[in-house]
Amino acid sequence: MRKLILYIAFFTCGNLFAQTKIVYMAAEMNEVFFLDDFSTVEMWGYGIVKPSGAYQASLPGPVLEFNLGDTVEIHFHNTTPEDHTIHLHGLDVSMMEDGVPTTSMAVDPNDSIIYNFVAKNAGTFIYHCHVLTTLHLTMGMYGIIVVKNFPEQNLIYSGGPSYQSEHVFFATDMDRSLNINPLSPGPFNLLFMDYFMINGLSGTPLLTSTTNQVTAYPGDSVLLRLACLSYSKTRFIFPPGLNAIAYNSDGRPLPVPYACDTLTIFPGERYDVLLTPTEITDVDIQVEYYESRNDELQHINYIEVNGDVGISKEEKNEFNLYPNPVSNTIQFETSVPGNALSVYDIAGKLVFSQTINNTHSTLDLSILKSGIYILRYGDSSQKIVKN
Amino acid sequence: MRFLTLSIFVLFLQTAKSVVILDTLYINRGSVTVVDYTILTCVFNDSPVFYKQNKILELNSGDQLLLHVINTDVLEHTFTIDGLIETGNVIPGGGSDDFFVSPPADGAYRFYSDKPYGKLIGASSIIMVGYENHFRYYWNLFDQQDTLTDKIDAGTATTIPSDYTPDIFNINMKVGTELTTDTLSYIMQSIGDTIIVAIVNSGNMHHNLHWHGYHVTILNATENSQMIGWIKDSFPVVIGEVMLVMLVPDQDGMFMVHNHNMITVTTNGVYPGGMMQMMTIMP
Repeated sequence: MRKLILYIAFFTCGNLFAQTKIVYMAAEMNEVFFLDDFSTVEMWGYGIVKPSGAYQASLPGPVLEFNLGDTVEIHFHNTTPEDHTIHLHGLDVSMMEDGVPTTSMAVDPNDSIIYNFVAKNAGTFIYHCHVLTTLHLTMGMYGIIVVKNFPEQNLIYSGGPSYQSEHVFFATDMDRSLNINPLSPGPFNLLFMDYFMINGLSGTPLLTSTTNQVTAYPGDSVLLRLACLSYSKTRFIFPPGLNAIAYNSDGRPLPVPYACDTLTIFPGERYDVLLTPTEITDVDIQVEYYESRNDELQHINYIEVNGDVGISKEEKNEFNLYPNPVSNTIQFETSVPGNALSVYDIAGKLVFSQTINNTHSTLDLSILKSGIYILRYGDSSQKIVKN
Repeated sequence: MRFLTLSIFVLFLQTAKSVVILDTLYINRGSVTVVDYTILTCVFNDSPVFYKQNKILELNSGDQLLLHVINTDVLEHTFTIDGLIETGNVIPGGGSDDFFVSPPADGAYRFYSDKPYGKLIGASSIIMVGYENHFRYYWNLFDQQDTLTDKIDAGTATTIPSDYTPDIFNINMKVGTELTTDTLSYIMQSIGDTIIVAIVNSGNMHHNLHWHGYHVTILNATENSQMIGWIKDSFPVVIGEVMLVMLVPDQDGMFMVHNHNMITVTTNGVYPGGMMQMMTIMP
């Protein structure tokens, strides 16, 4: 009798845990995508279909969040004039759900499909179109899937470390010439990526985006879900004070946690990295993009880190500068002279440097072109705008 | 004299009940046609007749290898295995030499000609040691730029320039439909089989692979050694790296394995092609 009750309790719990989640998605083409200089290119992408039937594609597509054990149905409707699919990258779905036209099926224009799978592993995954993939990825047909470790949602995986908050950072890139004229593509080996993004943002818009800032200070445990679907190798460089440790990769726990001040992520890889800061820091996370053919650094993006809650920038910074924006000269004040001052452009290239010998200096920045720069002095940095 | 010494050494080892495998490799230069391209290449074959695919050498666990390498090229080459054979390994044009290979452990080892007109145009392959009770497969990743290959072959280029723009990406020197009949790389097994795949990046740029349908366990990685023991569906194979991965499939079906740098799944700029292979897992 006791066994029977236990069995009933077990199956009841099982039903509670294993829910069916249904997502309605659509693909769109001919969408306008704004770059960081406010110019536009064409993008294709995915959007969630609302109960009203409305949808709006975004780059990247919406983050889809499921719980471990969920049975998932993705109802995908293709309203575009081209074939598309959804490949569930890393979820180890069956052949028919794999989203590869030759082994499962492509979704024709004005046709629909339902992708079914069970979320078997907690972690970070990707979805993307697998039709003419070389083109459809640079056009923007991708997004992130997060599978939470249900019911212990505060653990990275069952038996793993806990976290208090989380962020998704998805590194991608595009060849803007293709996005401007996607109907005359190729030859595809001549794609050269020239726009580099985190969550669809680059440069200053990324740095100033409040939704893409990491708040982490001593005592916090912040999970970063990092993924790369660029055509380039990416490298995330964490300030040492953040104490970055990777616990999970591609939806599987690492046998030994991997301490990673620098984490290289190749296309298709994902890492779940826990930050447990040991000291106050507001040094940004640096994301480098390397050209795949010659491994040369192409671009640097910065993810804002706010680790100085309760401490004003003025107290934290070892310097003060004005005016900002700057025309030609800038006044620089510091209580700790004797360090090197460096100015980097938004691509991370050093464009100006000078040793500061006095508490008050006048710097001639007339050689800089108009734009956004990062000024670093000692352990502190500040964005400056050159008119 | 050197061969005699080696032969006596081999006899000694045989007496000591260690198995020494005798084999012969030929360093051949020739050309292959890929789509519209005729590409000059250099490979290790098992006969003096040029064939575009490098030979794979297989040993059982504990085996040693006495290898006779014949250089049919007019230029000198080397027979190099990083960490094992790095000196005294030059083979003059038209000459030959013998090499004793004693692998320190089971695993995959890369051998290559450390000459620009050797390794940069394809003379690189795998010695697989052990795992003979499992199903062994081989992926030799390579990339080429047609015009540059001509220059390397002619001796007017000796390095990969910073504007390297490859147009051919292949696995075991094959692309497209050729790969469907490539028994070295086309995995055709059943659920529950233990499959070992040796992967070498013989190319001139970093590559990375993504497995559909399954995760694999990384048994060894010569460059990204932190990944040993990790279970992944996507991972890098950087220039010169040798990796060994294990797959035990838990579902049937036909799935793709491909490079996830999407310029490399093209041939002469056309998608699909390049570093894209299928696998079939039966119930």
